[in-house]
Parts: sequence; structure tokens; C-alpha cells
Amino acid sequence: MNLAEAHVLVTGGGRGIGRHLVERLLVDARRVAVFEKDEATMAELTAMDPALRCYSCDVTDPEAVANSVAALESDGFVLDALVNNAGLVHSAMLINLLEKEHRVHSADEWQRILAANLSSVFYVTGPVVDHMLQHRKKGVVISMSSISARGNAGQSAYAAAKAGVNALTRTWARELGGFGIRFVSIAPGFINTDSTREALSEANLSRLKDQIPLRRLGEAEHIYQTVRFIVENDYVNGTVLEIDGGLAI
Amino acid sequence: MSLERIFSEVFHMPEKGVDELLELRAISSWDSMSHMMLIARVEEEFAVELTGDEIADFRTVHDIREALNRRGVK
Repeated sequence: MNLAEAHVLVTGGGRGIGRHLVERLLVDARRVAVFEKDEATMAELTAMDPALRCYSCDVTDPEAVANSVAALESDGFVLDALVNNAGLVHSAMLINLLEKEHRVHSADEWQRILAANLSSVFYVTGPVVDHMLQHRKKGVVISMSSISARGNAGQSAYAAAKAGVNALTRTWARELGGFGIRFVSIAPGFINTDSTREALSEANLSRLKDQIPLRRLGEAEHIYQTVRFIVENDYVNGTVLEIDGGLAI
Repeated sequence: MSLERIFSEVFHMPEKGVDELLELRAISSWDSMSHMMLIARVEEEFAVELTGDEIADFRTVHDIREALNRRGVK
């Protein structure tokens, strides 16, 4: 697939990796759309480049997603690529010994993180792939996973959600390969973004870098390079690409 | 093994930096995860069982030392 000719939809995109992907795709792709629920972020993105089409959409609401996909079609988009980027990083242990009451991981938090990171991928990918099929597009769906999908202490819900994303990628690759539609997950390690720096103290960040064979954090551009590679190489399918400097070895 | 040694191993800090008044929250690598590791190591090393309230109330090295002392660990 030629990215320069592609219509691409990105979910999320307000900050961090998603924001970088949107900025780079606006230069390299033919048309870019974003599903975003935060009105202020939408205004910011639209102001950045009038060519960008932003749709107000909570991707944890299947009805809102269906409406946004319909609106996108009305605006003449015929999608070649979907990047399931929207999500929520969350850390909580199954049992928190620092609490006297409510020591066990909250069920509400579990549901919220599963909805944001796993159900959202399911809700968006279904209508988008149906749209691709109707237009006989041999498109690609790229879903952001995480190295946490291998199991990460302190991230029950997030790790389970991202492992679920990888399972969906493999499942859908088997189901829809016959139509030429591809599915790939990207599992970033520690990327140099505001959210990484907010979540980790300098001391923890320094210790983490020591565990990465390359001894440095990744950059959002490394993730964009991976997205571009997946879009353009139409034999990459049903796999999880770990972009982590070797951390998961 | 001494309590200081356990702190040193769990929190990746020099043993001599562990004194009785050291507050857990002041240790840069302390969080709910490392707290759990600390408690597991202390219970295993000294063959004791700490209560949930004690574990949640630990603020300093001295607090843990006192809990061990109450169980006859010197």
C-alpha cells in the first residue's frame, strides 16, 4: 500500500504517541481522520491543520463509533488504514498492601481499563473493517498494544487488555486474510512521552533504562516508522511488533 | 540477614543509607509493588507473619523493627 495515497483513521491523537502519529500522517498520507472525545483536543488538532478531519467520538461507546464511521463515510473517506491508538495507561496491583480497606483491585477500574484499551478496539475495528469490505479495500488495521501484554506486575487490567488486543489481531488476521485485510499490533516499550515521564520518577526511569539493552527510551518517531512500515509492507500480518529497544528479550 | 540488607536489596540502595528513621516514602524506588516485595522478604527472612494493619501502617524502618521485636526477633 502506498501511504501517500492512503486514507487513514487514528483513534485518540491528543498527546504523546498518538499526537505524533497524526502530525506525521498529515504530511505523508493522503487524508487523515481522528476519533477524539475531548472537545478541547479536537479544537487544538483542527487548528493545527485544517485538512485534518476530527470526529467527536467516545470509542468506548459502540453507538458513538457507528455514528462517527457513518459521518466519515459521508465526508468521502474510503479508509485504507485504521490505527487503534486510543487507550489509557493504568497501574494497580491485584492486592495493595498499603491499603487497610479496599485492598483488592477495584472491579470498576478493571471495567474502565478494559473498556478503554480492549473494547474500544473491538468497537472501532468492526464497523471500519465492514466499511473496507464494502469498498473492497485491502486495508490494514494497526492496534497499539504494549510490552505489558507479556504480563507486568502492577498492571493487571492494562496487561490483560493489551494481551487481548494481541489476541484480536491474530484472530482477525486469520478471519479476514482471505479478503486481503491485514491486522498488526505494535507493542511499544518505554517511549519518551509526557505520560511516561509523569508516570515514572527520574530514579525509576534511570533504573528502567539500565534494563533496556539499548540503554535509552524509544521516541514517538520510532512508532511512526513502524506504522509506516506496516502500511507499506503488505506481507506483514497477524503479528505483534515489539518496539522496545530489546527490553522484552 | 539484617533488615538493612533486605532494604538494600529490595530498594537497590546502600545498606549504610538505611537508618531507623528512614521513611519508606522517602525512598525513590518505593511503591506498592516494592512494598509488597519488602514485606514478603521480611516475613520469609524472619519467619514471621505481619498483620494487614501493621503492613499498611509501616512508615519507617523503625516501625518494621518494632513489629519484629514484638514477635521476639532481635
